[in-house]
Amino acid sequence: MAHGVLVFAEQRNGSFKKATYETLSEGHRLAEKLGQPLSAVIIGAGIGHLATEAAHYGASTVYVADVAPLAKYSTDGYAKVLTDAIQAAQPTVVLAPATAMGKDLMPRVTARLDVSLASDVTETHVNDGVFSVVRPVYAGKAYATVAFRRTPAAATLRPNVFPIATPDTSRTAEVKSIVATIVDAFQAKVTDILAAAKGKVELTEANIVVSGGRGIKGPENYYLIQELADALGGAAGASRAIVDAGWVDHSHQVGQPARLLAQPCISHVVSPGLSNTWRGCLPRSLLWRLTKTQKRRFSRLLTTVSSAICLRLYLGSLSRSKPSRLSIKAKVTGEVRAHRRKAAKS
Amino acid sequence: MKIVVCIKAVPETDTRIKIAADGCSIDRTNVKFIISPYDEFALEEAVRLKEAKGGQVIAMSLGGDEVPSILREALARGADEAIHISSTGIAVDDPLCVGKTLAAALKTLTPDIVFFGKHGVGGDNQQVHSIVAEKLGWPQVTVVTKLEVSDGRLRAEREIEGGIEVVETGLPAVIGAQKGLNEPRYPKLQSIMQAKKKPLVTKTFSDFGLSSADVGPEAAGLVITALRLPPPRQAGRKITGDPSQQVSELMSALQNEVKVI
Repeated sequence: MAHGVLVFAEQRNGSFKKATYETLSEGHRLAEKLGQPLSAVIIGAGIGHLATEAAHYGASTVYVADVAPLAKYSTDGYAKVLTDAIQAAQPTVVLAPATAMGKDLMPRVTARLDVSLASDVTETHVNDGVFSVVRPVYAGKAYATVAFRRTPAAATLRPNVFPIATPDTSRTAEVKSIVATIVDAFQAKVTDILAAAKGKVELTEANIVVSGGRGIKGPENYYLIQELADALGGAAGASRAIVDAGWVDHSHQVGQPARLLAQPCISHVVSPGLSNTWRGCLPRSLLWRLTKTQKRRFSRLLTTVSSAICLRLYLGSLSRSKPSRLSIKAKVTGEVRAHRRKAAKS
Repeated sequence: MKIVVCIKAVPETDTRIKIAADGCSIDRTNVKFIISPYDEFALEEAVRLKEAKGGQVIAMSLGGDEVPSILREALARGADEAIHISSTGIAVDDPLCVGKTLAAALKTLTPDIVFFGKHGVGGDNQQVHSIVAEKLGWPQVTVVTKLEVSDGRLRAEREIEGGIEVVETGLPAVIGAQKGLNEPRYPKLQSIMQAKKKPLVTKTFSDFGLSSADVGPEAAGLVITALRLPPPRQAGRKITGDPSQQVSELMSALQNEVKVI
């Protein structure tokens, strides 16, 4: 008899991802609504310590697969372990974060179990003990309510949607080791992970995103967006238009159909079509267009640039002494003039 | 090499979505269907692979009346043959049923490599290629931005959060193409004309030994019970004035309203 909610608790490099905390939290809320226990599955190598953390978020049973061949993610290896864990736990609901790993892994696992999966879910419901979900379709232009007809019902949860609960450090869990017969010869092997530049905030987990659009006029100006993002402790984004134009790498693209942003978000987009960026942000996000209706050539660029400079200056001065408004204005005017001269030359 | 590329006909991405009278699907009147944008990268990669290694490209698509026109386009863009799998009688809202049908069709074709877009826009499930790989027992590499195929093996780079995973595997395999994999070509007039003469066959799920109990409505593990439009979004706010006014207004909003700084 199926019973319980099971969460695939994704970890990378020995720690849970933000989306994992969200999924565990939502899993625990669901388990309470259903009156059933929560279990978690952690897969990797050298990750035993995470079981305690999963317990703090409400898991009463934690399945741990902690062996060297699972150090790097592989579809085959992880699918084998997760399928085994689901078959052992016999849950009614299986949840995973809709991350790169969750999206690659979950359809494989559910297909093996011959059950259906709802992707990128943004709401979960329990009505009369029956679990259903809501998920965006047509790039968020419509929302579908999805009912399940087989057990377990499986869903991947969209990151940055579900709130993270406060962990309770007094909770403990029963830890079950699943050292399933892991085949060493996986069909597909991850041979390397090429990390993006170190120290940069990751776009999907950033609380602040500064995004550039066609208004920056050329790839040579994108550094302004990057610097402002760095100053704010955020991530640099880009509109589809400038990604398509090859000004910046695709990994910076925000909005549908690319990346969903954390909230709240600041967008510094000066591009005519904002709808896709809007769609990529969540309802509570705030988006500013820092444009001025000026008809002169370069006006948009200058406004963008000057706003970026202003913010950078302001933030830079924040850390030192509180500057007078006048001193900011003087600095800003100077910087804008310098930039104007530079723009005029080129 | 025998290469299959699976494509999907989806509403043009700037289509205004309206809910149909049944309340759980979209109104298809006056909706123009196109090849799902990510499938274009899949198709282009398939054609380039054929051009480099020789062989044939078969374009396959599951759907209704909207499918033949996108298959003709795929033929114009370099595919050699096309197969339309009629969606009649298939529970298309459940990716599992779609995946099972495509896997059964692929089994009869025995390709060396199968390309999909990383996700079909519209349904936005991002599942079918993985389901197909699972049902065939083949390896999968999804969200691929770079691909090299040689001597029955492949090396692919896939996009993950904040990095790139390098995956190596043998063939046959299933690839999910991401934007950035290549630059799709526009078909030339000559190839559009030639495409009209290339073979396009229509099949049903029963041609692949499946029954309604496998992929029909009774096999669906999930159903869409309602479809609604999102609530209207609140307007954005424009900050005007000279730069220093803009700064103070923006700073006060960032600190006091959204509290991010």
